[in-house]
Amino acid sequence: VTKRKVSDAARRSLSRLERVLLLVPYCVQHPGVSISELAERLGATEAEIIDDLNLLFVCGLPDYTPADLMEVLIDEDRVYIRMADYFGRPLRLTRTEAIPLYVKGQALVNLLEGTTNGRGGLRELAPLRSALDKLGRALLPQEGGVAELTKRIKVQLESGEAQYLELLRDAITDHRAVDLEYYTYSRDALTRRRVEPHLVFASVGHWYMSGYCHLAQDKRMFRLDRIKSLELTDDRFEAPADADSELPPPLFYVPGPDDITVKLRATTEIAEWLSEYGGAFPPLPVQSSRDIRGGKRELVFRTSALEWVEKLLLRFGDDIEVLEPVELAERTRDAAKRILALYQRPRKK
Amino acid sequence: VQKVERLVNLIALLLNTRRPLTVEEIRNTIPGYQQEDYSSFKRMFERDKEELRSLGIPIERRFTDVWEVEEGYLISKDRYYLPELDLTPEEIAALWIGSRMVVEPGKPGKGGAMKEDQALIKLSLGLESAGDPTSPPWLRARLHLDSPALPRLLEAVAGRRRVKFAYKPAGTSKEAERTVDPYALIHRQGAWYLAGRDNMRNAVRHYKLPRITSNVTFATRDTEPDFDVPTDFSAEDDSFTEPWVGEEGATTVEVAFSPRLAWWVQQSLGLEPVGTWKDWTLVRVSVTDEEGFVSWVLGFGEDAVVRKPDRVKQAVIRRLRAAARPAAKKARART
Repeated sequence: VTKRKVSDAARRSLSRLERVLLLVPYCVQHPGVSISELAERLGATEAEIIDDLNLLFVCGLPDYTPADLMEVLIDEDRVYIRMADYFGRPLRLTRTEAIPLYVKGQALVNLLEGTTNGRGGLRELAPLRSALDKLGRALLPQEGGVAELTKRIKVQLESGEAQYLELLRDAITDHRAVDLEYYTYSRDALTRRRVEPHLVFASVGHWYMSGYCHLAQDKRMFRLDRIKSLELTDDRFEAPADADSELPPPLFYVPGPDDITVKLRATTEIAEWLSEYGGAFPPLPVQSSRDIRGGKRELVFRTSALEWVEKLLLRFGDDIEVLEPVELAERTRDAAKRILALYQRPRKK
Repeated sequence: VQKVERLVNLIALLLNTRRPLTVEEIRNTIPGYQQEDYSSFKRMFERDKEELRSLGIPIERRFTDVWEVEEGYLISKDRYYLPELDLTPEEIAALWIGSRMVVEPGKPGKGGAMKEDQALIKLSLGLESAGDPTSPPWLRARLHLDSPALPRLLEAVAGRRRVKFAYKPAGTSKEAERTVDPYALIHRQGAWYLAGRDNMRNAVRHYKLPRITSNVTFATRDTEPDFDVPTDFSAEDDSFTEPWVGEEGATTVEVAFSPRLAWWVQQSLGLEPVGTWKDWTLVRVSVTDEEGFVSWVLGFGEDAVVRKPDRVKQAVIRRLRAAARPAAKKARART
């Protein structure tokens, strides 16, 4: 089987043809649908939809007499198509339609799985699972591929399960502020704050909420698994014009003027793990790295807080060394001593 | 006659015919084919057929009768029409959320429906109130579906097709050709990974998609599956999970968490308290990799203390002593 490339001009007429092949069943199954709804649903302008309908006036079956052609009726804004029952049902899904739909659905299932008792979850999870099941069994049975994808595609959360999703949906859609107890890992602090939630999103392995924080008097992001408690208030707020614009860049490090430069020396293995993986956090925002003698590597990155770096360093004992700043080396040693004290005098205090 | 008009008529004709139609019959019927001379008609018809097939329209070539002398074309209704899936409005609405949540660079706002939007409209035809895709999405996810190698690898994973690509491993500058049986695609920490059997090493390896430096190609030409996925393979590979995730033969470790963080441990890791230590909460975890576990527990700083067994406790203390040593002594201790 040889496949030649389809030219750009051909691709344009093909995407119009695809739209037409969807437009006809849409009109057959929804008699009296408005042109504006068609435009909205099919991602076209109203002028394009009218062009498509004009084209259909001359389409049909042999001998292409008025009795054989489709009957297209536009009454004010309402569209009726008759004599086109053979186009009453749409074309089956193609691979390029089915696979992305499936992957996205599967991703959402993965992101919602294992949600904690009662607090997590989303009412869409069960219907989503059954929808994917139906899709998988019915689509492309001859290839058998789509059903296989459930088992072969995973979107993993690193830590922290989705929770408070239903509450946050209500808060966002009703524009009601929430009160939270929140643990800031990077600064190691638990705070209470009132937040106007704008968006819930999953990124780099975690669920987040973004919104306006009254405590910070600015926009902030909150990791859902670090929310200790969340309550809906009756405090209403005005929704942002474009909540999507608040989505952060893929990696969360946004350089600030007061950031500290950290320089570490670690074994190559650990250095790789830190810059590729990072465990519970996103990978380190490494600015530069350099291999040195003895299977070691130097890493340079910037951060706005040292508390989390300190804990990261504790994890690796001798295998990692702080070159800069001196303060960080000192506080890591102090922290190690304080933790040792917990082990040495467990029953006093 | 416009091209789209010609194609719509061609589909209608082939979908409605009971027997395969010969090239001549098609030429004599479809407006737009007659006025061309035969060889340019033939080129046009071949091109049309190919383009329609590229949209997934199943044009079949069959003998016109039992004598098998002449061949003709038709579209099988069974293969053309979307099968009835009986999706409920709730199921469609759930699919819409999944489809709309994805954030992609270059995602069209109004400039045309996405492929999977079109798929969803097909699936929801005839249903009243099947979700409201026009309301602003409150739930989003960044899934890096624009990763260039992804579409081909999804197809390869779905169809169990062996693939070839050039790969540049982390920490090296030279790339090398790999031949891989793709078992699974895993999205984690903001990137896609391919898990599969490296044919040369005969072992399961993970490949980070951004490190694939060439196009991904199928290693074989026919579309049949090239391999079976081993039954013991799991997409949740343990090289990706935290060390406290236990299996059989694991050590049971008792850890105390401070009141500051105990709620997080219970809520996020699903660990149930088994007792208290001072005003701290005790939990039990099964540990297969003790060294990895020591590192993990130290990441909680002053908010976690290992209580049992003594071996693991001593390992934590050793690492803490190493971290408490001044840098100069550290250097000496190593030499």
